Amino acid sequence: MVSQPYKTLEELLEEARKRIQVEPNELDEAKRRRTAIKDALLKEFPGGRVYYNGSVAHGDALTPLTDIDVGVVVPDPAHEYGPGRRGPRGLMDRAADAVRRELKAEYGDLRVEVEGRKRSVLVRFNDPVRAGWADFTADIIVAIDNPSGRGLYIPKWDSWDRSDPETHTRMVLAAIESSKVRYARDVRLLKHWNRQRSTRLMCSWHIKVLALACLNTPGNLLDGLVGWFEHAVRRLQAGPTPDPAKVGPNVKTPIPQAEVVRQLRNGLDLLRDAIRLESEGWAVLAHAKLAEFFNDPKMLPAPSPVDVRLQEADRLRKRNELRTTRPAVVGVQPPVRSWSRSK
Amino acid sequence: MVAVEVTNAVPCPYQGPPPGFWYGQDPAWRIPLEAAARRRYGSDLRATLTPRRLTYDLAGLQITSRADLVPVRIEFGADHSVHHYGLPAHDYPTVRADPGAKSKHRNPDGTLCLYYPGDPPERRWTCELGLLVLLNLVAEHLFAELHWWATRGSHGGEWILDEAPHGYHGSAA
Repeated sequence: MVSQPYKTLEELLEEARKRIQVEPNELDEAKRRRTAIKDALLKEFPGGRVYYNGSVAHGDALTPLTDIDVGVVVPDPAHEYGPGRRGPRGLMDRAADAVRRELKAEYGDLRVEVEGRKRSVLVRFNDPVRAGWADFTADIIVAIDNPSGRGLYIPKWDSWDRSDPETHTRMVLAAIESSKVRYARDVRLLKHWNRQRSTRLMCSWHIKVLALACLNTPGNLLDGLVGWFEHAVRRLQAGPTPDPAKVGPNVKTPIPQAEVVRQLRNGLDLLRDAIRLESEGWAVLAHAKLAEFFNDPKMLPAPSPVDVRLQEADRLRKRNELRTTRPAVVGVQPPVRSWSRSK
Repeated sequence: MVAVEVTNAVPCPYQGPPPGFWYGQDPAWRIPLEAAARRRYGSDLRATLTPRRLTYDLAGLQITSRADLVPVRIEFGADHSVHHYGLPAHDYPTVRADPGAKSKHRNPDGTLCLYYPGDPPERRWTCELGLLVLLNLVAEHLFAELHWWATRGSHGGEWILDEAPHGYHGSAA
């Protein structure tokens, strides 16, 4: 027997969101390490400026939190660095040395990698925020201002790419504010959904770029998710996703875009099924659909299989009573009669 | 229960294959049959064409209240004469899932009895409705089996879908 009143989809989403959001002590520790890196970089590059991006800066970090993103814009008044001039390697080595030197006392097992890195200096703390968790890492981007255009130059192997991470963070923070935090909350749910796929459909940044166009007003979480999926399907069908700062290259998907669209459509169908079932009064079935959508019983446990079976049986009984025979329509299930050829 | 695209289009009956071919070899039959199912299942739906048989294997079908995904096999034969009760073979495929399961509505060979072949077209699956609609019927049938078992099966269990009497009693069309 299903207890009444049953939780709404919105209440279930709220609970699920709280289960995956970063915990205050995790966030405090991440910010402490981020500040230590910032101080080391500004000591090495006086007159430079540090910017933050990634999930901590964008307010959408999930638990367990295992990485942070820090950027330093190195002053280059003589235009010594940049495309056609010196590459980023020397600056990356200086950043790595500074972090080793300044953080070694506190994080004795710290490892800093530059070799083989395309864009960032990688800091391995060898000191998880909580015992048993994956190690905590930091990605440091050593950038220079673009003297002749918007944004920055960031490393790409031995050369430079254009990007505007500072504007990206400003855009995300503006969306969080204009949406009264819904942006960050729905992005968190979407990142978790994406992680539950057997192959991730897109990077977290891509989720956020798509969300900038459709999650910038207040509203409930469920409407936000549906709106994001509808927008994402439309946007990806139209072609690649442009950089919202209009500086860097398009945001790419790691698998063919047509397959991403297919899986997004399936996700949207599940959400719409859940909403329809809830509106028809089948709260347990709606809950089961939402659980199927997230595919993570720790984050959003499904209702008991017995409750689901009993409610589905009720639903089919009612449907059978109401269903009338009418001419077949493409895509519509006909009211068949189960049978057997043996008497 | 899987969302399908509803076009409100009245299905246009299949006109038959070109001379020298059977319908399973005819793209004009296969493409519309598969379209919606391909959009839903992508590469999880695999088609194998042999000289006289077209087989679709779905890696896993979601059944309401079941945790596991159920593999399903749908076979279309070129031969119109075997167990089709006057229906064209393209409207009466054999469907296999959960092999060995006892059910109120299976044939002796274990294939699922999804609909009565003597019913008029609006009460049975026809190829124009597409493979996705057939898979949705399979999902409902497997749910009905699960519920039947949970309500004491052959000792008075409830079959939750409409039923036709067993055995062929001719066409009601």
